[in-house]
Amino acid sequence: MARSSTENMITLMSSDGEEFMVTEKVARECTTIRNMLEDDCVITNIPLPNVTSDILSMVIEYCMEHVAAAEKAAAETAEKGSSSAPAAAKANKDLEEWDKAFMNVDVYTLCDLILAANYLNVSGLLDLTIQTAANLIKGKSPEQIRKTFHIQNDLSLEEEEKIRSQTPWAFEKSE
Amino acid sequence: MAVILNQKKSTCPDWDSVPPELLYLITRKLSDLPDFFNFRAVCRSWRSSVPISDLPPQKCPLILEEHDKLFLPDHLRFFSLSTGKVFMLPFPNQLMAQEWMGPTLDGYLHVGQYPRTNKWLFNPLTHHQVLLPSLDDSRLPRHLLQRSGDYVISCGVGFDRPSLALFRLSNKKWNIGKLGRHFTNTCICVNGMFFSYDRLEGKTKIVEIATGDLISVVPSPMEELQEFVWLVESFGDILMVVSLESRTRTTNNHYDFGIYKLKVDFDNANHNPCWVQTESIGDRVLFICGKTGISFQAGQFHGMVGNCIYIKKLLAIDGSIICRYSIEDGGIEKIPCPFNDWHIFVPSLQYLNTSGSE
Repeated sequence: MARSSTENMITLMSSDGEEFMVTEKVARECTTIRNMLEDDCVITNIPLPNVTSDILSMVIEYCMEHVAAAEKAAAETAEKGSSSAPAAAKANKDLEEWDKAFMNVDVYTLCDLILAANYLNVSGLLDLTIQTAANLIKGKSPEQIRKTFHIQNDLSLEEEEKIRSQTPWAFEKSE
Repeated sequence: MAVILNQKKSTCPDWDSVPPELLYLITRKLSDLPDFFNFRAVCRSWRSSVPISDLPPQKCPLILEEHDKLFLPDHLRFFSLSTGKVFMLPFPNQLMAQEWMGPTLDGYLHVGQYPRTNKWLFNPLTHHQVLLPSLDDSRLPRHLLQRSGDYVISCGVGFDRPSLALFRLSNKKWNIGKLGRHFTNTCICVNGMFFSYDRLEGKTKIVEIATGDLISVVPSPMEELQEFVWLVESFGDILMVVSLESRTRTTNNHYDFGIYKLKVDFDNANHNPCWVQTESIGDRVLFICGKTGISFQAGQFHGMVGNCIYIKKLLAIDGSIICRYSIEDGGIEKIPCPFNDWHIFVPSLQYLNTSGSE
């Protein structure tokens, strides 16, 4: 992007003190930051005490990719007068593929990303990470879910018995 | 990117300490109900993030195993198209002497013996039961049940005698004849209106349920009388699905459907409703089974393909298969199904009558 040099740059600082310089446009993908910028337009340095550097760099990577995809689509629309449907569909498909590859993370990182996406209010990333977590749950027994997410079973025998009576699903032994 | 510090620090977050509002967001995506229940059985914090009554907004339809008459199992078996898993629900002992007649709308099963005996509506999730007292007038073994608010409509289908009875859940009484005489083999209730397809004349009758008034008779959109017709409610649209397959052409696995949408404006007294052929249903899916059909949005469920008709049985194809017909190109995909015969079932925790305890 040739015009990026003229854009405002914002410095985001992670909880462990790492600084990330991003364009204002990328930073605005985070609704939390956008609100800060709208309250105080001269702000250039934003500390994010709830997000570690490795997670923040991933959030920025996500925002940059989605900003670039939106810009590309807008440029094509401006060029041709209207965007062609097949090209738009392909661009969407490409971005979906990118999202899918981006979600190839372990459950700890996924958890961090959900918390960060929620804290920074990146709706697209929050939806993507929540969906990924849901996909990891689908088709699994409670014990398999605990194993996947490294969760201790803190339910008492009485509680488990109550759960069984409330939800009488019994899965057939898979072949 | 300017990097000053390069200290890696892992917080090692715990999935059991994720804030409840975020766990709740995850449960909204668990459209396959067993997944929702299993989620709540993981640990205390996950369990308390969502009450059992707050089911996900979209509920994936399940394939429910159909049984031989005169034999009821102690468990009902369900197959999830989304996860490909089979699971079971216990069937209460007191209903086991009955024959099971198939699912109704709203997550209930219609259970009973024919003829002239009491019947029940039974929700296999909640075990809630509603008694439908014996309907003396009915000699018909096959009933199609539809519900509209306080009313349950029992419709004897596929027989020479028109049989339509209206049951009010609030006063537990049958009313026969109020809706008129219908020789129908497919009917639906939408927004207090009863739509029935007359299989002798090909017309569709629209009756206001509360008053019993005949609102309109819609002419058939087809020149010839068709045998295989289904009315399906689809996101506010009334659709007519017609199998254009003739019985003589079943050997080549060919199947073709016509889909019509009802153009209707109840607010305009001068408006004559009519059927309009439609080429596509977009991202929607129609599920057709027996005399009934349901519709949902494909994108919400893993593995579902939009603009398709899922149908129970093609005359030419034997075995345990669900056929997926593409409206766009007429192609047929065969989806393996673990049951020889099945119904489509949409689970629900909603109680049928308002007096039922939550």
